[in-house]
Amino acid sequence: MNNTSPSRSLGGANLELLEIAGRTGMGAISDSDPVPWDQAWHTTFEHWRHTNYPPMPIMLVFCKRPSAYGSDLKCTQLFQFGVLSTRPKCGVYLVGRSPTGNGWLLPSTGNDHQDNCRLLQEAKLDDFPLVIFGLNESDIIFLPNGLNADEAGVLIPTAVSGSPFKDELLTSELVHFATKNLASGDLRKKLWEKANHYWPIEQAERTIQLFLLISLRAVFKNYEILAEPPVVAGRIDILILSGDSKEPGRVILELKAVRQFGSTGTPVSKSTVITQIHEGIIQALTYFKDATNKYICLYDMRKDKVSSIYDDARLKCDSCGIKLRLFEVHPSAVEVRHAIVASGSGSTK
Amino acid sequence: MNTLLNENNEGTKKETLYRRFWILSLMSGVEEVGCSPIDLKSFNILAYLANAVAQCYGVPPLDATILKACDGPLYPTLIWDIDRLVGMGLVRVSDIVVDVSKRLRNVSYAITNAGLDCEEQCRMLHPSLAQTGDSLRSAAMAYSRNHLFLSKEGLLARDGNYADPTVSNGEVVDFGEWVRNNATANSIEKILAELGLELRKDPAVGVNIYSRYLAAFAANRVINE
Repeated sequence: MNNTSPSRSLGGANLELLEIAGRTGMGAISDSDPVPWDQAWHTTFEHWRHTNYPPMPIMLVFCKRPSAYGSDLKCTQLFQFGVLSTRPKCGVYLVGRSPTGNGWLLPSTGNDHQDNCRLLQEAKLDDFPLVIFGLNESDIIFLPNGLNADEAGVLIPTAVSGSPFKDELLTSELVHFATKNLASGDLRKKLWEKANHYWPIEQAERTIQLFLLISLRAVFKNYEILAEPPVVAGRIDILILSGDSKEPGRVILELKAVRQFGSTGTPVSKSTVITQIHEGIIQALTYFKDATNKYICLYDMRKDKVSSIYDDARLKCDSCGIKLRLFEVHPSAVEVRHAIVASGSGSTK
Repeated sequence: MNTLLNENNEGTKKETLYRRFWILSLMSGVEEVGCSPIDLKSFNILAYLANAVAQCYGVPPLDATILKACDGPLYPTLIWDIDRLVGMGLVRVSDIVVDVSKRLRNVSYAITNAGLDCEEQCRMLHPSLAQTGDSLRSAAMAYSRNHLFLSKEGLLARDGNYADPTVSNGEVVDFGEWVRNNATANSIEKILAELGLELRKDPAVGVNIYSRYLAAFAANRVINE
């Protein structure tokens, strides 16, 4: 702040409403958000998820220049497209970050998914992030790299009516994410540099964060869920605020990918792993002393998943009220199946 | 950057260039959110907000004063410049409404692909232009997310600067020209302090919450009441 008066006058602003806005965080969005669409889209997704009609495909292409491309490609403009509560007709739509914007229907696209894919490729828009509705009854599929990437896509989960401030519900969603989404073929491919050698990619935590964000925002659509919000002592991996829900509280999640090898195969020592986990606990401990719940989520990407490495962390978390949640991440479908057979669930609390 | 000029008056050359870059950056933010084209009244509200919140991003406002009026903020110079940008093919015009007396009632503007490319090139000329461009784009995105309800009524009712009860309609609201107090920026700082977040590291979070707070007035969605 360069020019604020010492008196910090609020002029005509309503102090009480400013305080409520600050506490709930309603409308909070960061410019560095890694998801290509705003959380508000999830309300629209839920409206459009189910249909009484036979499933028909709708593709939403998230791009930074929807009207510019739309105008050049002679698309039909649909005013305030994302706030429509009924599912629009089938076709390919170019849209921006917010559902308050317009949609641009690509000419000649309609009921035939294969035709739509071809027309999207011809328009050279096939490498933008894509969300597809209606390939079956209620699934919504996210293709982060568009059609080009030859991927089956990641499922966007259904909203629930409960609160992420309730530990049981949030933990069950975290488990669901780890056992279903992280174990899916497409997400597995994104997490490993060399899967058969257990070398995770350098940005494993970031990748997990991106897809966990999408899942949590879809499931808890009335809450504000922020990635990397800045606080005095650093940045929180994920912060959940009450937003529209009118429910007081806030939750912080620190995420750690636990490695046995670096992305180039360099071994990571046990002491380094323990130090990294300890740093995560310190971070969680430092931020927001009044938080409803604090979590440290450990995503174990090691080949030898020796659990004694977490003994010290468990004790520390128990003593300071941080909830430690441990999830196993496997590089192949075979390993996933083995883990399910071995543990019965594939993840442990 | 010369693409942005079609005048030969050296005296105003830099100011004109900067103003046009400023407009294109705002419009690129509107475009990214998906809200193009933007109508003229909305653009004037956006221009005011971008000026009012510039301080939060650590960049100077284009104009730190505005005439308070029942009809909301108005920037005739910017409108003149937008029309020049239309002539250059960097902005396209739509939704023109003319009444029976041939007076312009509405017009909407959207940045073109050429305009977006031009704005990107201008950013690369100097780090300060990149910073200004980022802040304008961010402010425009915050406004556009809430544009359905963020109206002149919201500004007149609860904006720090524009609703200042010590300034009457027809008077100038000064938030940085001579008066060293920007109540809108102070309000955003207040929100972030309540939230426990750092303004300097990510002002967009506060600007977005503030825009929602302004929009909640017209949406008749008084927060938590």
